[in-house]
Amino acid sequence: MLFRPYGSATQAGTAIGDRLARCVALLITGLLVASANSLEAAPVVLEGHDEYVYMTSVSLDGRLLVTASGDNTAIVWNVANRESVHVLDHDAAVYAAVIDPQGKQIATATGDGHVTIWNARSGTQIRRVKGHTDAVYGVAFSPDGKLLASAGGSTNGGDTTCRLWRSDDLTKVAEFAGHSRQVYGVAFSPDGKLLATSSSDKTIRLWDVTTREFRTLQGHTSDVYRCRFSPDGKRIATASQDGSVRIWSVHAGNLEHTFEGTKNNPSYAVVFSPDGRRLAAVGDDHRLRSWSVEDFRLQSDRELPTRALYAVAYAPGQSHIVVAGEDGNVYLIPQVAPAANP
Amino acid sequence: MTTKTCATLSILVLIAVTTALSFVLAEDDAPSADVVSQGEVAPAKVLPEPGSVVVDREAREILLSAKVQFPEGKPCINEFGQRIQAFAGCARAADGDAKMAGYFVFLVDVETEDVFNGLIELGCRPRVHYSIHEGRKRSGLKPETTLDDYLQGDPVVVSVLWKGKAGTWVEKPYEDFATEQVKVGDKHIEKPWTPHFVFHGSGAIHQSGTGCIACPCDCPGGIIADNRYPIYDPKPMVRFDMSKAPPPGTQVYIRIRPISSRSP
Repeated sequence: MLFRPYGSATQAGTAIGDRLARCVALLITGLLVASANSLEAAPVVLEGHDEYVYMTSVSLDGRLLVTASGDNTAIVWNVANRESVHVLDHDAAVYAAVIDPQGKQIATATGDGHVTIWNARSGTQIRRVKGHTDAVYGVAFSPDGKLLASAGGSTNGGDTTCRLWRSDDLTKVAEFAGHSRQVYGVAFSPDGKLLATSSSDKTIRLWDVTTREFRTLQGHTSDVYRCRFSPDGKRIATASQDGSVRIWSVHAGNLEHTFEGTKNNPSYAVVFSPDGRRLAAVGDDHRLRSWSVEDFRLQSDRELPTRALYAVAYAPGQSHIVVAGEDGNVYLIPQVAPAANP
Repeated sequence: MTTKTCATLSILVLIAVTTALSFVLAEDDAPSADVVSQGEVAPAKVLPEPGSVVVDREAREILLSAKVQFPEGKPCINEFGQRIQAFAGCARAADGDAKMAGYFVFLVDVETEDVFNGLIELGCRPRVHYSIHEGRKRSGLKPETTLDDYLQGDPVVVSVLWKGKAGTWVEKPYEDFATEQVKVGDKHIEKPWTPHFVFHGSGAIHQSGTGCIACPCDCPGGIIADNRYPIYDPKPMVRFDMSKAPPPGTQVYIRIRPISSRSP
């Protein structure tokens, strides 16, 4: 039979069976997520900032944590005993702070255009440069730790140039210009060959560090905040004022998946788990969500007793995830095992 | 039926009709104190079309078109809290999407800069304005605080008006939607929200991009602030009561009347 307008009884039965199976699968997934959420342990809260926390970064060995805050400080924390080790004072709001891959240096970026390098162990300032004429919102170390990228700007554009510095003495190495509005996120690919910048002009640019040529990723309908490469370098994830979190193919330069959101609840930050299997995001609705990167299913969804969340980072070993935001607290959240796919 | 009986019945019917009408009117709209005009009497000469600002030089006011939204879960909505984001703000600012649009109860459909320009056109003047970055430096009351550490400008009066179910125009002062909480000794007490709103213009002059129009604290992100306190610190503890606002999706209008300074 070639023409089956409504399908045969067997096909219809199969379709119903498929739907039923999908329903059961969704139900089980929901129950697993719900039960995982209900079993979640209470987060450890680190108190120390008096203002919003904009960014957090964990050292590769998992020992140190640094947080950047609007109270003009960055705090270095000992992850093991949960105590602050150093308070790094600045003259302006600190919008970004990262630890280098060796765990020896910390780079911070501030609202008055400065980029500063600190000794992670002693907490002393090594070098400071007025690298930008406007606020600096993002900094990132190259995978070998030898280079540092920084970028920022203002709402009317301003200094949106991403600058590349030698991390030992902050000598400028290169500039990447072109975004029409401020740049909120910078990230190096794991091989160090690409530099990603995400901007309020709704685009992401993937720059070749050597040639300075770039490709543009378009699709977000509003400002793009932080961006992060996956550990294998094949994907990049972005968070946006349009509420969505998106995953892009680095090689093809196209959109792979959109985790939808609403404009009233912008997404501010994303991070891949160290094994690359999960993606976590936070935003204005003070929820921490994580999805499987393999099938894009929601694995956990947790509301925190706080206000908007601006920062998220995985602690290596995946024993916990770090989030922070508008209430100034830093939350270390124990990770539950991801729900098995039914 | 005697004339006396007829008269008694007429009076009873009249009382019944009057009572019924008063119930209908009471259920239809907010308390009569909020009603500035009844029936089809327009509350302004011209109301703005969506996406436009009416600058009425004769009435010395600007009118903005807005929609009500319910910013569920955001600070100060139906519960006491502190926030820097305005209750009335624009969907767009500084040529982009307003960063705080999700926080506003009254979402205005023009850019913050258009609201700013409308007030300037009326002769309303900002005096002390800062970028958010500069505002943070001047935050809080300190021994070295000076007059210039407060946002300043001509005072303004803000109100919200909308058409009720039966075509009756309702207008409420902006501050009537919220209640303030203060601490007296160990006890928290409620009081009317009594802000002192001034047009400092910072959000437009320094292009903050927040979209905020009238903020419940002294914040340079918007263009109008309650400057009773120093910048950012302390923030008043307020609660916006959504039941005092019309339902989400309702078309409303924001009226801003400045008390403009005049040069000698």
